[in-house]
Amino acid sequence: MDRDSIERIRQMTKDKITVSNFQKDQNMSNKNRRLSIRKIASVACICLVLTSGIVFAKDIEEFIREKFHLGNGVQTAINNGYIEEVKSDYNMSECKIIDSNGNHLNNSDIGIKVDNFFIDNYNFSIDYNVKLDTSFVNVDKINNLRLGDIIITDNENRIIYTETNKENFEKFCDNKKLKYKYLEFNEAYLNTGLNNFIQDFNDSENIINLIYNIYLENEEFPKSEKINICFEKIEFEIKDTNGDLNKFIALGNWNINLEVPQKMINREEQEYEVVSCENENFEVYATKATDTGFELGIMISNIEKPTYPKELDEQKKEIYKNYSKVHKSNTINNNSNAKSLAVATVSSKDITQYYENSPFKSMYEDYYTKQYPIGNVRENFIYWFPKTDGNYIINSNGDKFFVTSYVGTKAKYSFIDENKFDYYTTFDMTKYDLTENVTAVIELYGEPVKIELEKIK
Amino acid sequence: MKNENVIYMYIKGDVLDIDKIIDDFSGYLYTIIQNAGSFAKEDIEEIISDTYLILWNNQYKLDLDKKLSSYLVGIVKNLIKQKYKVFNNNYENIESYEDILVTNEGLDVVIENNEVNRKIIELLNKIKQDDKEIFYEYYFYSRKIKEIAIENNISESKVKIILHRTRKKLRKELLKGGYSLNG
Repeated sequence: MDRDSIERIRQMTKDKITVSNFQKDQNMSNKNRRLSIRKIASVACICLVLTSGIVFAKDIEEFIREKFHLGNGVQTAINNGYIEEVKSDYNMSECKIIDSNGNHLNNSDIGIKVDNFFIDNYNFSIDYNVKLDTSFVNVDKINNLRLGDIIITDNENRIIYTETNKENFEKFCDNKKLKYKYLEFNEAYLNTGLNNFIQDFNDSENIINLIYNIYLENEEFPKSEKINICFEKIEFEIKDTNGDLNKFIALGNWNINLEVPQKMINREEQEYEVVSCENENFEVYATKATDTGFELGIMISNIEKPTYPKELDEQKKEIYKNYSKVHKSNTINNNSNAKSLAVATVSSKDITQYYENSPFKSMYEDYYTKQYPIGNVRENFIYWFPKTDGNYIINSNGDKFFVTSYVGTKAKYSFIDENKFDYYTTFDMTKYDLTENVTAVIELYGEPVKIELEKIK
Repeated sequence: MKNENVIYMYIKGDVLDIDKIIDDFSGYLYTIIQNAGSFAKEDIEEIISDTYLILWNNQYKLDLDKKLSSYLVGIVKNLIKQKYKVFNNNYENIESYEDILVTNEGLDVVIENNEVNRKIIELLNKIKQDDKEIFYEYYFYSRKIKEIAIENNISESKVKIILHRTRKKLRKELLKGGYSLNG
């Protein structure tokens, strides 16, 4: 990251904070704006509010405790016991530490254990603790960490997740006498994705808390009873005294076994039936509450699929000419021999701002309203439109639940043909939030449509 | 082992030392966002500055003994997921920008909050430089009127007049544009 970039960030941050303080100043009757941070001795309720009020987490302790950062539905499930604590010792391995040039620097012991995990239909999330020796590195210097050559399987030898090269994969399959072909996914060799991040550091014990969120989209995890996690390297990105990042690899061998509890094998669901719907073109085909969310599937008929106007197509060249920035891309493929390519990109902000001030504004509005007819997705393209609540479900207690915002959910949002739209989504209402009757409110072209639902006994 | 990353190390006076935080963490956050997905550079910078804004707005609720990086990583991951989720859901429908050379990378999920902010910043960039600097000293650096007067070698009443005039101009222009400052 270059100095110019940092200075731009500094100016943007300064602008935003100035404006935020100004707005608060205008809205506050008591001008007590200069609170001292030092006067606040203990953690209080935090509301991560982005100036006008979007809440990301209920309170700071929950925020820190919210290990997996997979939204309110998952957090509710965890708060109600939908998590498996694992009591085990560290899986220790004596490792060779290698630098980015392949030089063997020294040896060091690294221990890994799983602290807890959960599995729902679309997510398998693991909370690891990684214990390092201070002779190798102090944890607060670690910028990034990844488990390499990892293969996760279950008791039926299904491959739940893998990230390794073809040679290692084939060697693994030969040893276990498995007949999978590298990258040829099927129902027993899952095409899972991964989001991983460092959640916390423990300086005194030199431990890193690492989160692995493995996910499937639009297909479900099998009913595994036992899970095996094995990997042979850990990749580190470590900051040196100059602030530069250097890569290291620890070569070792770790093998972790997990027992999956019954509730995560069976994953019971609660279904609802439609009592009434305000729009006769809505056909509700799925309603089910799970431990971590509420899935709703609707087929909407008599809805026009728009054609992208030729005039807007011609504007693309204009936008590209005026706004694009050419930069080198290092993510074209994973081949380490690939040369970086020049890629032109245009930021979303430039595109939308261009249309706000162009003669094609209403054509642009019309297209995106029809292209994204459900919920408030179109607001991402037409930010000058009045804001709406979007889609939500409300239970009899008046609790409102919104669409979840993480990748591991089942979702569909597309035209099936010229006048049918398939909408499938997951709300963060869970089995623990249910009432006999609930109401789903779905926006169609910005107007709410109510669907009354009743629990099926 | 010294805890360099602990929040109390980043306090200057009564508030967070945002300049130091920007210097120490921007590269780190940049890497996280870059690894998370294909965002344009401008979008990455936007996410990072939004992260600092959230941190600033909640600085009075932070546990001073905790690591700043824990908060920052949590905030930025949520911001990325907000952007990434919408992008993933609608990728198949983003026909407008299918051309390889023009890619719409990332959606600004905080647009609805930043519309008024952007307008205010735009208006601030049009006012006299001296007046703008005083405005920033008051609202960004949280300096007192007396301190600003001494630093700029002007009277306290002049500082008050400049602030009053700038606020009035902003309110007037915002109202003209149909914006409101009240929530």
